[in-house]
This record gives sequence, structure tokens and C-alpha cells, in this order.
Amino acid sequence: MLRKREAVYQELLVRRCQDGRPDALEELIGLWEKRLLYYIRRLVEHESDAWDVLQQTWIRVLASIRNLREPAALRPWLYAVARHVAASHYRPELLQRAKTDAHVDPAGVPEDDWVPRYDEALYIHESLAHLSLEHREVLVLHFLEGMSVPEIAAVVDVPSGTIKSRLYYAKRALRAVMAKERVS
Amino acid sequence: MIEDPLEELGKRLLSYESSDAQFGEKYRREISTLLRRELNPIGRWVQFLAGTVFVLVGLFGIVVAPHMTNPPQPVVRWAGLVGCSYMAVWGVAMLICAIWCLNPNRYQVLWFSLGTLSMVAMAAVLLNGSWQAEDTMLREQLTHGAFALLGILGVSTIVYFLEYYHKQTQLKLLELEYRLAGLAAKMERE
Repeated sequence: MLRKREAVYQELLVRRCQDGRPDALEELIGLWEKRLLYYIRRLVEHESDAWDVLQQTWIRVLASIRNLREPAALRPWLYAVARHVAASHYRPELLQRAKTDAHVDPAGVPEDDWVPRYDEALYIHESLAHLSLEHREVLVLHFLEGMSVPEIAAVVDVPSGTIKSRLYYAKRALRAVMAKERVS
Repeated sequence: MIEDPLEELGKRLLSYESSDAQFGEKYRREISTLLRRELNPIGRWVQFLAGTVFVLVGLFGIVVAPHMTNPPQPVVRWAGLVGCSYMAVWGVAMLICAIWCLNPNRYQVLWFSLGTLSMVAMAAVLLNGSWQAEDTMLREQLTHGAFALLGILGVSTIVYFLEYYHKQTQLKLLELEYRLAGLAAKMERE
């Protein structure tokens, strides 16, 4: 059975980068920089810091892409690198929180299948600033990249149950902020 | 019609992001330097230091080896000279990589050819010298050394080419799969 074109393209790109081809590295950066910047800007306070984190992220990615064994894991891996750079330079609490988070049983977390309409994007974009850092982070990964709970868990490096619960409460918090913004 | 609401939402979120053009320009300058330079600063320093050591030791060996009198056999002097010359050439190559920020991994074929040449030269010297050596024990040692070098060379050649062709074939297959997936997607749309 044929794989999806995007998946093949991603693997091809990773293999070419691992082969050290400069055109592939340029392509990789061009493909991901905008989305990574969006995510990083939701993590750090100042825009200049976000650009700095993005640059540092690429330095780390280019230095260690040879060690990426599973090309399908490129997306969570890129976000995890960006998160780690942001945390080590500007947001140490991101790393500390991961250690202290209690394990949550995924079965005990209620489902929230709410998918916002795409015409609500502007509200979401503006409301994200009013949410806590941990809620903002999971929502960006979910809405921007359409990441599943296990993928977000791989980025944030916490158990899936914790992410499921965090996503549930983040969606609730976002809806509350959006409702308030609409009223005002 | 919107196929995936989350995908469309993601695109729209990105479109609302504004950024300072000044930061963007600075970032792009840095990235283009980063892409031009294939070595990071630490890798560059490692290459530079190792290259300097190799060149110095190699040059020292080239000067000293022809005047060695203990052991007296000329073969030892020749083998020393070949080994030290190779070391110096390798050191110069490392320095070139460090100065122009080139990733040495990209020039594997060149390193491999240099290594092969020096090993062949070393083995030839040892085998040739072994017949001239009067000392039987030394002759045996040199012959064993030469065959060991040729053995290492043979194994590393096989491993190198197997890895190289495996990687190239994998890339070609992926390119083919990518084209097929594109055709399949096109047929599906039609």
C-alpha cells in the first residue's frame, strides 16, 4: 500500500538532510520556521527572544538531525527541540513542571471533541494570550499542527493522560475567554 | 470545501501572526551564514586543534624519519616517512575544513581515498622492505604488518561501499515512492 505523499516527502527530506545536503537543510528550515516561530512566540515573552530561540533551535537541529532515527517523528522532534531551547534560555519552569506533574489516568479524563470553526481563528489567536502557559502550549500544538495527544505528550515529555487532561481544561478555558471577548 | 478543519485553522492562525521585519532580517542573515558554514563553532575548534596537532607531528616525523638509525633497516625509515606524510596531509585537510567551515563528513570519499593510498603505500614499503631485511624476525613482522594493513583496507573498502550504496539506493527508492504517491494522489483527484 502506498504511503501518503507528505509522509514520503518528510522521510526523503530527513534522509537528504542526514546526508548533509545544504539544499535539503534550507528546504527544512523554510518549511518549518513559520510554524515553529508561532509556537515559540507563545512560550517566550518577547519577540526578539523568540527569534533568538528559533535560531538556536536550527543550530541544534542541524547538529543533531543525523541522530534522528525515525523520520516520521520529525514534527514532534522539531517542536521538542524548540521547546527545550526556549525552556533552557527563557522558561526554566517548562522543564521543572514536567518533573512535578502528577500522572493522570487517561480513562478518567472526560472527552472534549470540540473543534473550533476555522473562521474563529482570529478569536483563538487573540485569546491564547490570556491563557496559562501550559494551556497555551497544548492548544497551539493541537490547533496549529493538528497533533494528537500522544504526539503532544512526546513534545512536552509528560504522560499522555496528563496531556489529555491539560487539553480538556485548556479547551474549556479558551472557550471561556472567547465568550468573554465576544461579549465585550 | 474544507477537508480538514484543523488544518485550515492552523493556516489561519499562522496568517494572523505578525512580526518585526528587523528581527526577521537579522534571523535570515544568521541562518544563511549557518547554512553556508557547515561546521558549528565547537566542531570548527576541534578540527582546528586536531589538524594543527596532526600537521606538527607529521612534519616532525617527516624531518626525523629519514635520519633514524635505530633500527637500521631502511624499510622502517620509509614506513615512518609514509605514515608521517599521510598524517601531515590529513592535518592540512582538517585545517582547510576548519578555516572554511566545511563539514568533513561531506568529503568522506576524499578521506577514504587518502587513507587507501597511504595504506597501499605503507603495505608496499613493508612488503618490499621485508625481502631486503636481513633480520628474519623483522622480516616476518613487516610481512605480517603489511598483510594486516591490506586486510584492514579490504574490509573497510567493502564496508564503506556497502554503506554508501545502501544510502544512495534508499534515497533513490524514496524519490521513486514520492513520485508514485504524487501520481496516486493525482489519479484520486481526477
